[in-house]
Amino acid sequence: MKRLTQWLLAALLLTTAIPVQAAASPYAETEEVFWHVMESHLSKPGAPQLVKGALEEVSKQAEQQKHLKLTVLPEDDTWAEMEQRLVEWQRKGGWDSATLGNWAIEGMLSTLDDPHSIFFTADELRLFQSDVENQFVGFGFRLRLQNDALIIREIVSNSPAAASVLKRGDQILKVNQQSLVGKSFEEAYAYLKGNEGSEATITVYRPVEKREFVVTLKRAMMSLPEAEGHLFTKGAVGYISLETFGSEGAIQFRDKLEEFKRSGAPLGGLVVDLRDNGGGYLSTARDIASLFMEDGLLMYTTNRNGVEVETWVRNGRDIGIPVRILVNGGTASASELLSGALRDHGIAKLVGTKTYGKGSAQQVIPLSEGDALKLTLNEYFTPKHTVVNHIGLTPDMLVEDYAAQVVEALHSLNVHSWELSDEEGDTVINGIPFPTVDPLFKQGEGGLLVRAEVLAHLLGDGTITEKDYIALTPYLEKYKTLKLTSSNTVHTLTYTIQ
Amino acid sequence: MQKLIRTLSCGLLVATLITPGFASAAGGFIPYGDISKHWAKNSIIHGVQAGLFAAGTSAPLFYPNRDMTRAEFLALIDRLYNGGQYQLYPLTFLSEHAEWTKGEGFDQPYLPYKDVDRLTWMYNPTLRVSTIMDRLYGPKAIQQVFPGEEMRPNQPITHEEAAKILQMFSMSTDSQNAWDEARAWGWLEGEKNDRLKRGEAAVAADRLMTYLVQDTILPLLDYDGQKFPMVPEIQEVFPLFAPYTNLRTDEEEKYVNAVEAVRNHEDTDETFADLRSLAASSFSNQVGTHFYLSWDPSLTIAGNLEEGFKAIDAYFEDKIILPDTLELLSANVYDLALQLGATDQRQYSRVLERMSAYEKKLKQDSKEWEALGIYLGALEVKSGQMDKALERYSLFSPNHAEALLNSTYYLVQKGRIGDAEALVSKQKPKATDSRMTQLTRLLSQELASLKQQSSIATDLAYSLRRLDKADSYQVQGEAVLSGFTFKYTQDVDQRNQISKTSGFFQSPQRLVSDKLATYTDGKSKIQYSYDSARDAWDKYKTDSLDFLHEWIAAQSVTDRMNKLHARYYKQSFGSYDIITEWIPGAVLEEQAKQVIFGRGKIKSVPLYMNKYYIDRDTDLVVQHTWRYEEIYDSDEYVAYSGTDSYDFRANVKFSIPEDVRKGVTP
Repeated sequence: MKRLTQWLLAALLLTTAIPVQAAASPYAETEEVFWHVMESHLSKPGAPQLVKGALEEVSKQAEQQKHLKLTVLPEDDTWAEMEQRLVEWQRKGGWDSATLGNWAIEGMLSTLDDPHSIFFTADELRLFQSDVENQFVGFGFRLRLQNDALIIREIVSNSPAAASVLKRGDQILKVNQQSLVGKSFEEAYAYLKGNEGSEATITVYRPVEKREFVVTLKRAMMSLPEAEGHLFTKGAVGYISLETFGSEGAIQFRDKLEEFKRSGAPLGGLVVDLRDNGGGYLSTARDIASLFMEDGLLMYTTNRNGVEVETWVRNGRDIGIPVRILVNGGTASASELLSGALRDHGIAKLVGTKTYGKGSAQQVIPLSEGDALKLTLNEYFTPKHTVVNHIGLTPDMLVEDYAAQVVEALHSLNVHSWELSDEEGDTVINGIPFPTVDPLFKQGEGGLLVRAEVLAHLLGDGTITEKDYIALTPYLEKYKTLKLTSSNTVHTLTYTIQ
Repeated sequence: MQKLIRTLSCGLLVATLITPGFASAAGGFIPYGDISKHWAKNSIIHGVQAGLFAAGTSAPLFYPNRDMTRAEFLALIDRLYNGGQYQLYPLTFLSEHAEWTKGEGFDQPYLPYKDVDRLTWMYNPTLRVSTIMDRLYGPKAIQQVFPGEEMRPNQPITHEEAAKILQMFSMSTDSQNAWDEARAWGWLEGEKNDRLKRGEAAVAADRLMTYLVQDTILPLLDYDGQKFPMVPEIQEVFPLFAPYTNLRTDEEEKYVNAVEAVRNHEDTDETFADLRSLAASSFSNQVGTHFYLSWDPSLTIAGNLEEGFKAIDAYFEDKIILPDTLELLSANVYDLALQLGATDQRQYSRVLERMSAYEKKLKQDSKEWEALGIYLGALEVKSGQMDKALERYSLFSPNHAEALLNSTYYLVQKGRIGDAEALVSKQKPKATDSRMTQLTRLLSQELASLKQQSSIATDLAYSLRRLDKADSYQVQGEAVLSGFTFKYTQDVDQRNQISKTSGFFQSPQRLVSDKLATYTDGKSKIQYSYDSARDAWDKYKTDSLDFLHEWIAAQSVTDRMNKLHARYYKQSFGSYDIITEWIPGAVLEEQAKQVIFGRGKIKSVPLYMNKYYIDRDTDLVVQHTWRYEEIYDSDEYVAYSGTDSYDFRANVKFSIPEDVRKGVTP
């Protein structure tokens, strides 16, 4: 290329290198974070903003912890001034530099208005990575938050929980006397987590039996499959749920599809469950997308410098069957990326509730002390330039109820026969159990009640607008092919569209 | 301060370093249950040892009589390339460290097929072979072998299709001849449309491995100026020079321990003190004693050299004919001479003079005489006596690969291509001597291309002129300059002498990429470039030369060939002609030493090579790939490589905005 180098040279001269790390400084790591954030964060924060944020946080902590008044001066707006102030304040307050440095980092990151830019200690980094890889130290149950209740949605095979009396559908009430009722996921996780081999006493409520009991469990390390799936027993539809986009996710997803193929009958549709899937590696999302399309644009990413880059899927294969993706408020990041791309290419429709809205991409940057900074570098957009960040994707079929989402997805895939029942706290839909807090059936005063939203979507009956439960009997009369069979308190609802 | 241990750095070990990395395990086992009586058994075993075929409990059978599929064959070629990639480097420019399934820039390469999918075992091997072929022969080259949108990876491969893939290893000048060449090299023996059996593929792979470990595909090409004069590859650099049993005398024990220490880089002052005491004693192995004393880092190089000569003296005193030993001892002295000569050229003739004295003790044409002679010749070259060296090499070139290579090379250097051809054509190597057979073939092939240098240069000049004369065109490119990665689109409007570049670049020190935007005005020799940090346009003059490669690019092809001694190689593949150009660094250093570049004066040029892909129908350059390495006086090291694709049909229409010219924010 003619005369490129002329320009390249200019670029070289214009680009200043990151300052050499101040090796011996006690605030070396704080300084690294300062430069990384200032030079790379999507929002282009300036030095004054970061310095102010850092010093205000330290000042706040000083006030709280030692009632020490440390005044943040408006003229402090460079790293050098910030470092000088930290050294001075450290002397005044008698803290160690690590504590002060962490406060400063906390303060800088808080100015970004970006919950995804996070400082990790070495331990937290390991946790984060094993989380993405679906590896956990824990008891071996996985939770779902429904109506403020933490419900066991799955028990991992060969885990401490599997060896105990715990069952799917059980609600966790307490861990070691700490109540988890009304707690968020994150809070609950904080109470449940612990080191490998440590023990805890867990108080559980089992809705089906309406009783409380206590179990003692030891935490262990487990690796969970990222993709799991089965065929629905009716309608030749496959179901694959993806827990996370870890390094095995694409291969496991592919294997499930192969497994369906081997089972004989040609598939008429596929339901992909990305509910509560918080994302993971972009490369895995791209590989999974390649199982759906021969080639096509996956996304656009932009960065702070306005550079827009296209990421393409190449050498994939067309899935060739209609696809429904189940999404909800816990569908975030790589999950939204995949959902958005497959929808824009007309490959999939989304069913469920609005997604989380994390349209940004982070990079984990190792810091010199073994800690790490997860920093937002890019924002991404779907192939049709749909903004995801802070907005989320609105599903094509808006359905609130967890089980009704599955029913609606199957409906739209032209499934004609249905069999629904409650089993051990799950709602079983055409042979596949889905954990729910609210059972499908409930005994009412005037007879058997059923989840209104599930029934509405099952029958495609727009007149059912009730929340929660409604009496089943009138509908058994209204719809001839809707039938209820009951044995040993297990009720099974069957329905055939004619 | 202690000097670092001397390494046989310059000439001696180069051959070893470039020997491809086919791992080889001790054999004796039969890896599959179905090959013990098969005619291709040995080749299959070699293949397993070299890592070409997977064996073990998961692969108990080889199925040697089954058809090999296209994908299986590509996976085999991928592994062969991995072992022998150095051989192809001058034509691929793909260094062994290139992570080329990831692409060298921003874009990952992909296959032009719909039926080879990412998440399959065959994907990465197929993609890698396709990437090598793209580099060798131009965009989508693999479709010349397997045409269409589908590769049909599970279809049996025919002999002819296999030959088209194999030609990448034979530096074939014309893809039309792929079949004849694969047969002439003895890689394939069947008929064009025969399906290739797995056993036959194993035999072809075995022969290719032998081929790849012998000589480089262009034996006369010295693209980095490090290769000539060639000296033999030394198999064992640290021998004991005598057999020792487990029952050793104290002196023997001392010696063996010292050798062990040098071998393992664990030698201390004591090691050499022991050796010195042995040298002063009546210990019989004085050859070894002095050889290892020549490795003493506490001595000067001249001191080491002295010991090197004493080892040769001791060799002649022993009066036992051991040509390999003499070869190693001569190599040792030559290597020391190279180290002395690096700072003082006159040292070569001094060492030569002393070495020459040994020649009288030897019978001409004996193995010992050849062993010494190859180094005497090398020293003659180094001390500027090329004619003498040529005369010497010609005396034993029929039996000695390096002598033949050096003879041919220096004849060509002296412009005596006719003599070189005569020399090569009169070689009649024994059929069993595979190295000489291969070398002779490769040399005659290369000499044929050397005779066409000016016609290749004319072709290249014609296409480059067409590029210069095109009214407008668009370039899509990716480049790496000193760690900075660039991706850009450039519109060139030559009638108005303006160009516009847009894209982005990634600094190695940054986590996020930055915008690249420039306008160039050729009339006023000004370039405007955008600075995203300041959101402003800057102005640069373009009438000075910043880099050596800009200076070279400004020269005509004729000048590059005549004044800069550029070497050209032309290959035809499918609808493209591919011309590769190498310019030796030494000539560039000499020719450009008066030029002052923006980066300073040039100090050395480790690498300068270009590849042009020309559409034979239109004679237009469709792609250009380059790799340059330049070191300036300031010791600044500049590595620049990249690929540009040209589109002459693009609709190029733009003007330089007034705002940009004024330097205000766009």
